[in-house]
Amino acid sequence: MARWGMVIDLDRCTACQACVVACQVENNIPVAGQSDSDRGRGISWIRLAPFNEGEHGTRPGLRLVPIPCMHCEKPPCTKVCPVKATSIGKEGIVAQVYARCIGCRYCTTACPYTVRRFNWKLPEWPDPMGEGLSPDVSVRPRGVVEKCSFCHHRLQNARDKAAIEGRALRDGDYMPACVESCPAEAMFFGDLDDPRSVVTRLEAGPRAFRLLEELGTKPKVIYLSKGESGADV
Amino acid sequence: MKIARREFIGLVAGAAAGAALGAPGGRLFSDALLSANQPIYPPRGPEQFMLSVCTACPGGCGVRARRIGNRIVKVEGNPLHPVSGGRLCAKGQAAVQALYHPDRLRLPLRRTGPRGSLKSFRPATWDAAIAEIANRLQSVRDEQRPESVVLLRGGRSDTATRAARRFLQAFGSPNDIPFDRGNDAGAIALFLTQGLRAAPAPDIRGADYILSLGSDFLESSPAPVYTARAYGDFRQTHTARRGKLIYADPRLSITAASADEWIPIRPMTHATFALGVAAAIVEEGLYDREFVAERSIGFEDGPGGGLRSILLKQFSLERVAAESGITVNVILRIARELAGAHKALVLGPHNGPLLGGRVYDHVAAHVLNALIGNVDQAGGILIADDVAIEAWPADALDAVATAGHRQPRIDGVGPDSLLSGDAEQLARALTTRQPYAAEVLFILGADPLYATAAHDQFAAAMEKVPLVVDFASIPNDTSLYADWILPEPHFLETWNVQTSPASVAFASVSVASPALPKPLYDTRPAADVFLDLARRLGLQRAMPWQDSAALSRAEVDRLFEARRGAIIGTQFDAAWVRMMEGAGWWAPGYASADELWKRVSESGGWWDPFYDHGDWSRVIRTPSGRFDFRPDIVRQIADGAPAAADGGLSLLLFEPLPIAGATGAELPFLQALLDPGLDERWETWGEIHPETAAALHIRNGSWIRVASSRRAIVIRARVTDRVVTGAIAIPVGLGKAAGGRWAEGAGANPLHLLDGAREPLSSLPDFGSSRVLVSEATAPDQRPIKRS
Amino acid sequence: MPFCETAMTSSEPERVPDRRLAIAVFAVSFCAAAAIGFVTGQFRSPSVDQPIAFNHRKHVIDNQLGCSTCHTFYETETFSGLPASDICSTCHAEPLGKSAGEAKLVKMLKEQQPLVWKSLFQEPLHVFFSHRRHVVKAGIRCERCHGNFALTTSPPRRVRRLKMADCIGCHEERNVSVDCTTCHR
Repeated sequence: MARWGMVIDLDRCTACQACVVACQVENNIPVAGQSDSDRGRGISWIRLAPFNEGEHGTRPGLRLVPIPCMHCEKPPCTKVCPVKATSIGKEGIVAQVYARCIGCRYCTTACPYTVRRFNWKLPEWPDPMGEGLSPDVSVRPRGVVEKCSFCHHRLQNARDKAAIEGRALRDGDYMPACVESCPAEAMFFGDLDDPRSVVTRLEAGPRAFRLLEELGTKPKVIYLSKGESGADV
Repeated sequence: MKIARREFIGLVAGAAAGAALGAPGGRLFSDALLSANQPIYPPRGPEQFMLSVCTACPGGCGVRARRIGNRIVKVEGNPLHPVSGGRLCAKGQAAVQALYHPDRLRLPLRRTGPRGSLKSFRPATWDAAIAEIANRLQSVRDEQRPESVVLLRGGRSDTATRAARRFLQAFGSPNDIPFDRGNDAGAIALFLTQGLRAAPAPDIRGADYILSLGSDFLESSPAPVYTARAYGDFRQTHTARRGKLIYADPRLSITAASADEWIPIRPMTHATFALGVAAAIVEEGLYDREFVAERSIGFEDGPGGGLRSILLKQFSLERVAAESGITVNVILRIARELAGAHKALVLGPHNGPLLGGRVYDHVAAHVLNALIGNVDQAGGILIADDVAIEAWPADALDAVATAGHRQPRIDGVGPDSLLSGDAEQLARALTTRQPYAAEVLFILGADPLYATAAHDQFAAAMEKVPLVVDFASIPNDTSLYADWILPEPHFLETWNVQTSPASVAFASVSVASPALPKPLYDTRPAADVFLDLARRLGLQRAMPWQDSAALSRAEVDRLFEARRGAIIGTQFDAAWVRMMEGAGWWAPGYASADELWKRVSESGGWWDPFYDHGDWSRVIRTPSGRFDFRPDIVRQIADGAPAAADGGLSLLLFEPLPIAGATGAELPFLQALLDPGLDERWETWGEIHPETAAALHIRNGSWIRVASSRRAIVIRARVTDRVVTGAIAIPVGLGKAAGGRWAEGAGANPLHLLDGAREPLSSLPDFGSSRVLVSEATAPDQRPIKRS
Repeated sequence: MPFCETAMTSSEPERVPDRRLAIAVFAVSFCAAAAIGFVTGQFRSPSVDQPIAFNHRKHVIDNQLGCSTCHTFYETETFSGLPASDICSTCHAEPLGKSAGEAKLVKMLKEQQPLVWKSLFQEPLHVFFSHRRHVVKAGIRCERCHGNFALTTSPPRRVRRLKMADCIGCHEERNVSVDCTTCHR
């Protein structure tokens, strides 16, 4: 059984935000206008968070870090859901079932990475914007929480394709939209239990770290810090 | 970088509070609510992947659109494409939103009321549009005044632009006026030093040390995806050690945030700082002696002394330190690192497609490049290797056309001018009707009313032209002043052949066929319009093709005649082609033009991955055949007085990638991404240093009035140490008069603050020297809140 | 149906002058009827009018045509597809038999009227089902979910309703994933 994980190399990342838009288009995220945006009600499953490390000395004190759902192995969000609308699957993907969600938002509060977003209203697409919606992802109703799914519909499509071609799933067959789009090729995706996968090799390198490791959430999104690395890529 | 828990919690607390507060969402009948979504039924139909080329910017990324039934649901990079490498930036990803934008033009619009408002336009038919334009052109031709037709065009190298240029040629007008501000200064610096007219193609991937003199290349490159991929490899590859990036500029841009070191030089001191570094390199004898001795002039010699003596006399470390605000130690250290690096690269200032920097700064940067010997070397400044695909028949111009081409250009640009086009002078010429009056103005891929300092002159000038024809998908600021707005199709609806952009060193050609079975609306590609006009005016000898599909095919046939390069393919294929061509062989993999067309359609393009480094007769075309250090220009820089401090603040402009080039504000996905560092979206802001803000009694988040001698704008203040003292940094890209429901009314346009100053050397508009007064203000008039 | 009669009588103004009473009666009977309809499944599988009375048995059993002759996509896409007129006209450009249904079809094809079939099986929007996955990858026969459609001689008024328990049951039986995300997206 695979254990899907993502590696984000902060040294390659240019903070261009292609991942943000790739995700929004792939996952039918509704258009937020200015007023919703101003109230913090725009939805994005991956965002760039600024870390201001104090004064700008010789080293720039601003770091921009892409933050998707960490798909924690010990997810705090699933424990607080009163209706089992969110759960961790066998392959480690933390899922959100919109049809079950009652919108209580315990999970948005429990998530230490604040990657869960609430739908404040019924999504609207001024004609003909709805034409661009993907058939792979449902349109969420008002009043439910949503978040990054690691584009698991792509996993299923990749699996189907591999099965039809009569072969096993290969490293690189399944990639979330953000990873596929990344212009700087800073994002990697694969099976953390497969010793030959790129992500496993990167995870073992000296630059690897996770966000808020000390909380014990065991994120499956691994970051690579800036700096010399030796031969880890 | 490790992020500690405390910092992280501080950061996310706000977001969490925002998400948790508020009334619980009432949701008793989930099925009822779900069924309310029924009208938005997902598309059904077979899945197909269609190859195209993105035209959201001139970058020319090969893309692959995912089509379900007759709808496009996603656009990705074409994995085989050498520019995109299967990747795509935020703007390209938003192409689906642009395709299905609710405010796209669906019909030609004819102006019936006063200029300046979309309300003055009425829908019309293509027949009426083409008939009126053709009649006007015919009468101009009958009067033997073909030069009175003017084309102002953006920097794209696509089939539409080539067709428009050819039309002007065939018609007999010399007034093919490019409007490509982002590339101008860099190209002029290259012309002054290397004697050829081309944009520099810096080899970021091959470098191991980059000194960026205010080149915000991660946001503003002419080919953002190509540059980002190169940057990734520059930082981390398994073959080379990690490249180091130093960023010297008054503002901590997105690129600076990725740098290893930010050197906060004072405004307008890029050239001084660069030449200070150059002086230290010369003084310590660290320059590339072989290149300087064998391939350059002007180092030791020149009227009144060569580069060496000017540098040593005029750019003492003390003077440079005093002017730039950087300590002598830092300047010396940078000089030693730069000269000691194996493959160092210096980039001149560049802040986006509209903000190409000053020629002085680019010359200074390029002097530094030559001193460290990286001209045309791997990891240095390369020159794009073009391929000609214009398929036009030779000797097809008639007598009227030949006579028209003897007329001077209306914008005063001649063969000896440094500028390639002069939009400000064009506005004056249109108004004064000197050297002659213009009858027809075509505007293609440019928005001069938004993007020039002279926007009101331009608006007034357009009143004087009897017929102004603008091509647009969504109307822009300039469209509002046109007589006809002709709706352009989205790139997923058209044929197109696009050559690689400036800043990509190898030759490549991308081929796009329509990704949708038919266009969504009654749009026509600009190429079809010009081919149609040529037919009606009897110019089909010069433009014999029926439509853009036929023209695209003819252009690809020219590639077959070029007898070089290969169909785009895997990395292995590229290595093979490179090796073969290096050894003097050509192994194309296609035996006929038909086969080339078929394979190009299947793969998305053609390219020639082979680059011949050190082909000096190609890359240095000065009269002496040597790189010219231009001691005369360096002396002008030395003699230039430091910017006068008259109490105002220096105006620093930049273009965030999502709205760069005055496009992107029309898409809500892009409006939400303006600056991840300051969490800015949907409005224009001004970055001010805390000390400067305190002196002006300005608080973070308050409204401020930014005034120049010409006008004032009201924007939001962002007090941040991301910018040096005594300056205000404002993004360009919002504040549009047109552009659909999401662009109109959002933010302000700081370009309109500029005072129209020009650089004496090149007469390029000088966007760096403006000063503004900043004061507290009341909130601007409530702009209409856009729902959804 | 009972609620229809009630509704019609109570909405006649001269017999029931009190509108509030009328509304109350209407509301009560409507709710009752709705509850009955909900329990019996009446509403969830409404009868459907198809453009012609298609005879599956004739095509599948008598003429030995495979399902994919008309439902062309179930092996390659998530959906199976309903035949467009060009598929019908490959055989029925001219009448092959004497049935009234065929005569109607031939007329429609000649007049180039589009064939708007109504889909009898539709998953809710929050459920995603891939035919390709089930047919090609798992080798499940069509009858497993669609029932014995091949034996019908005219469009059924009502079809077997699938519930989530049907999906889970089969998935558990075959030992394949019952992760929520397998079907819910």
